[in-house]
Amino acid sequence: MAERPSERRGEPLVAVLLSWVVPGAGHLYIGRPALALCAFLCVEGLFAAGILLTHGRTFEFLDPELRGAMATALTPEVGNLGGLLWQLKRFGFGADEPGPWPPFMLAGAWLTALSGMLNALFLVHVHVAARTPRGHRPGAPHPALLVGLAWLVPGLGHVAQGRIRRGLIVAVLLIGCFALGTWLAEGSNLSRERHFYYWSGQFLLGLPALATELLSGRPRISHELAYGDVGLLYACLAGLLNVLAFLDVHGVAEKRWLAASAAPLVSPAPPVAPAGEVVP
Amino acid sequence: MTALAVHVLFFLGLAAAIVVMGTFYGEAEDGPAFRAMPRRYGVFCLSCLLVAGVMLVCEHLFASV
Repeated sequence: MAERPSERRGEPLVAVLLSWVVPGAGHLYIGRPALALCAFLCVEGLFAAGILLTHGRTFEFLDPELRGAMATALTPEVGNLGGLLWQLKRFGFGADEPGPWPPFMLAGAWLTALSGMLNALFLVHVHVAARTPRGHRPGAPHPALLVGLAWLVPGLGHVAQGRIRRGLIVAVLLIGCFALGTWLAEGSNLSRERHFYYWSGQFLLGLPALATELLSGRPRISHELAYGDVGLLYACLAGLLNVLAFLDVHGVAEKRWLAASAAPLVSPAPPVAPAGEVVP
Repeated sequence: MTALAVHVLFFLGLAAAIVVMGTFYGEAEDGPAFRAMPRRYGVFCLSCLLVAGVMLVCEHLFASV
């Protein structure tokens, strides 16, 4: 059953836009100050740590000919729009003369990307929370939690919903595509510096991509790759296709969550026995 | 010829992943999703073949080197 506008805590679109610019602002708008503070601290904490480690130089990974006003729109950092705009205004694309990278450049770039992803999950949360009536008793896991699981490990969101067969198929398919792509590209896809946009795509695969990047040790490529481009495509598309899994998980989770909201808060009245009969 | 066959195989593999995930997104229930997959896979591959054919004709007519 769809919720009535009068039962809403606030306008979902307004809440999402507020949180997109300032993490937590949407939660403050719908009257959840504690969660607002938590969202702000977590997202901006990750972002600040990333900026400290990278010295704000993440976008220097971009080739000079790709740098422009919209060049960063296809990065995970766009989930934290306020932070992204501040970073662009404060640091831009760096100095004209490239210098050596800071020692923890890659870890820092991961942290700013994670801050964008985490804020995207808070956006999902606030969009649902704005439509959830007050006094709602959770009868199903929150959609944001399940989407987070679907990002962390492809298929895990489906499994947590009880859709185990579908979850296993998604996991095998997407992790398999990523593994095949990484093998074909001989690990060259695992570098944000080398393949800025392809990396952004495979970032959506979550833990498998992070773990492989950590374990790969950034292999050096000193020969022609026969199927390097095919590998990049497979690895990147595995991450992009995981977005369809997010949407699938979210659609079912949202339906279940709001159905639980629409359920009556008091138990139904006991059956009334016809005259002359005794109800056990 | 071998290279072409390998690339066709790569395409068919990736097309399968795209079709499976697209069908899962379109069908919340497993049964209808699995039944729809073969037809969707065929339509996807034929559509791509059509696009590739049009591109080859255009290349031959307007951009031959």
